Amino acid sequence: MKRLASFAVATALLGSLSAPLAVQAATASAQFDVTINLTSACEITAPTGATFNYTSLQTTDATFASNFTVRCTNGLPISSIALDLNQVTDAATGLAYTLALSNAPSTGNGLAQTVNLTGTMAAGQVGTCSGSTCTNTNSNNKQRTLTITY
Amino acid sequence: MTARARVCVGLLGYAFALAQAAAASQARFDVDIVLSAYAPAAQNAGSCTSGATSGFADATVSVVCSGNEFVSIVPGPGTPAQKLLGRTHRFQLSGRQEPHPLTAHLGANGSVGQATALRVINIQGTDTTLQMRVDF
Repeated sequence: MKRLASFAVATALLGSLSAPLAVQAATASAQFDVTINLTSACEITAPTGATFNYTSLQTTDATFASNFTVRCTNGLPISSIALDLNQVTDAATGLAYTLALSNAPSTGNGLAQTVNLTGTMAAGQVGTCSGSTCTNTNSNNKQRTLTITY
Repeated sequence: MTARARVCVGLLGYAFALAQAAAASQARFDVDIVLSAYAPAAQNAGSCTSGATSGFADATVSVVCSGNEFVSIVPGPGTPAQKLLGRTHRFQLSGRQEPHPLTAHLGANGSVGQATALRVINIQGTDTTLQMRVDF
C-alpha cells in the first residue's frame, strides 16, 4: 500500500513539471531589413617629387616623373582626372614647363590606383635669377591642383 | 500618379544624376624649380680654358671649351690688349680706328654653347678703355 502511494506522488510530480517545459519551447519570429545607403566617393593624394633642376641654356630637356593615387568606390565610373593647368610659366624663375598625366583609371575598384605625372621643361631657356642659383619658393603660381570628377 | 507628378519625379531623378556627376575631389601640390644661372663649375673647369698668354697686348683672347673655340675676341690692328686678373681683359679703344677696333665671335664652331652676338661699339672720336670679363 505504501509503495502505491509513493508511485502516485511521483507521477503527480512528473506531470506538474512536464507541462511548463512544453510551453517554454514555443517560438515566434519577425523579419526586418537592414538598409544601407552608400554614397560613392573618391579620394586623391598629392604627388611628391615634382621638382625641376635646371641650368640656364641647358641643351637637353629637364624632366621629372612622379605619381599619385586615387581610391574610389568599387565600380564607380570616374569621369576625369585633370590638372588645373598643363602649361605653366613659373612667375619667379620665368621658366616654362608642361605637365601630363597617364595611366588614369576609368572605374574605381576600391583600392588605391596609381596615376603617373610627368613634367617637362624644354631645353634652351634662360630663366630669371639674380644669383648663381634660384628657386621658385616664393612663386605665386607654383601650386597645381589635381581634380578627380566622378 | 498623375502626369505632373511623374514629370516632377523624373526631373528630381535627373537632378540627382547631375549632382552625382558633379562630385569631385581635389589634391594640391607644388612644382618646385631649382634654377642654376651658370653651368656648375666642376662641369666646365676641365673643359674650358682661357688664353692665358694670348691675352696680352695686341693679341687674341680666346676661350676654348672641349676642344672647340667658344669665345674669341680679336682686337683691331694696333689696339693694345692687356690681360688682367683672372678672365678679365682690358682693351684700349681709339675713336680713330675704323670700323670697330674690336670684334667678337661666339660659338665659332657652331657646335658648342649658345651662339649669341656681342657687338662692341666705339663712340666716334673717343679714346677710351674697354674692360671686359669673359665668363664660361
